Amino acid sequence: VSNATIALELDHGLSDAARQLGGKVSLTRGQLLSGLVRIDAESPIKSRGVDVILRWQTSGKGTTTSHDAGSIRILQGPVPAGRSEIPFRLDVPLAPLTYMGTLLKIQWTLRVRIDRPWAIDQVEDQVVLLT
Amino acid sequence: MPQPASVAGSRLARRLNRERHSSFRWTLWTVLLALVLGPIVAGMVLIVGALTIVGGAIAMAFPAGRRRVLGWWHGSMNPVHVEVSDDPVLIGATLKGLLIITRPVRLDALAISLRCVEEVTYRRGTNTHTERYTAFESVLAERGPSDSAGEIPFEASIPHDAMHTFDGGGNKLNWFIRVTRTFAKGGVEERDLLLDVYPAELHAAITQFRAQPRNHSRSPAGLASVVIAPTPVSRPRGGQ
Repeated sequence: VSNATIALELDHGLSDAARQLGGKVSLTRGQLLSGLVRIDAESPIKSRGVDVILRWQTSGKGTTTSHDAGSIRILQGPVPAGRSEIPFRLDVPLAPLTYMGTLLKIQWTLRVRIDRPWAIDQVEDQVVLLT
Repeated sequence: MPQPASVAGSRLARRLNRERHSSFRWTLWTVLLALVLGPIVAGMVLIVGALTIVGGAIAMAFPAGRRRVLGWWHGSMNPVHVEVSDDPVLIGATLKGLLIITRPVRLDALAISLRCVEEVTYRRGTNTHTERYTAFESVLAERGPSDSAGEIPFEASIPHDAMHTFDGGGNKLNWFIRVTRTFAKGGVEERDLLLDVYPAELHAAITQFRAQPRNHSRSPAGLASVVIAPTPVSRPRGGQ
């Protein structure tokens, strides 16, 4: 199964949806997040499509829970060989906020997923803050 | 976001409760229990009742257990209510509250506090464990010895950097108003009443969503991912 290199670039200039905060990207609730997904594939990748997903996950001592709070399919069908640059726009959810507690942590991730049929999906995660 | 546990109050907008439950689920369970499980439940109630009496008797043998049992007994005989101006309350907001003491009872001390508690549930083997950690606590009002019924007003401020109420299955973050009563006859009762804290933007979006006509197909930006409670949020009614 051929792999691709995935890079995720968030648009800091166009809106207030994303800004740098202590080395991490902080998202602003309720804003429209825009960015660009760059995929470099040596050969065509058989896939159902490429998704950008905003998801939260709990960690800590308790049983973990995760939830895809927002997602958008930015490419339908196989990923072509070579470089693909695909822009996206996604609503930033209002809750839950990023939380780093003692027993409980809530973390947000912006995920790019190549949805492969009958194979393990290729994902690229970027931890973001929802504050 | 969980559904607020409070109901309409008589003096302030909302009266806080100790537990939250969905009215539909509650009704369904009541009907099921009454029709199908009635005899079994009656038997179980007898067993649990007997075990409670035995457990209570054992607990009475130890000072800490005795304090809890006596506190529970005196607390049940002399209930108090807490009403607040807002539930849910917004992060950074201040709410007014009122402790309503319905029956005169002699107290050595009384304290009202605002608490934020992390609660996690996990399985280890076949056992389910629950752990709690108090992430924030602030004393709102304190009283020394007293024996009168009446009302005690208080104010609570949710810090600007506080986390909102969260319910993610085995991971919860709950806010409480805790009423601690030390009874002169012995016993301490700690009564935790649920208070929901929401981010302001979320509360505004929910209010806007509820105000829209039923056939409106699109929820406000960012609200799609949030489970909205089916009952209305607090609506001030009469009182202060």
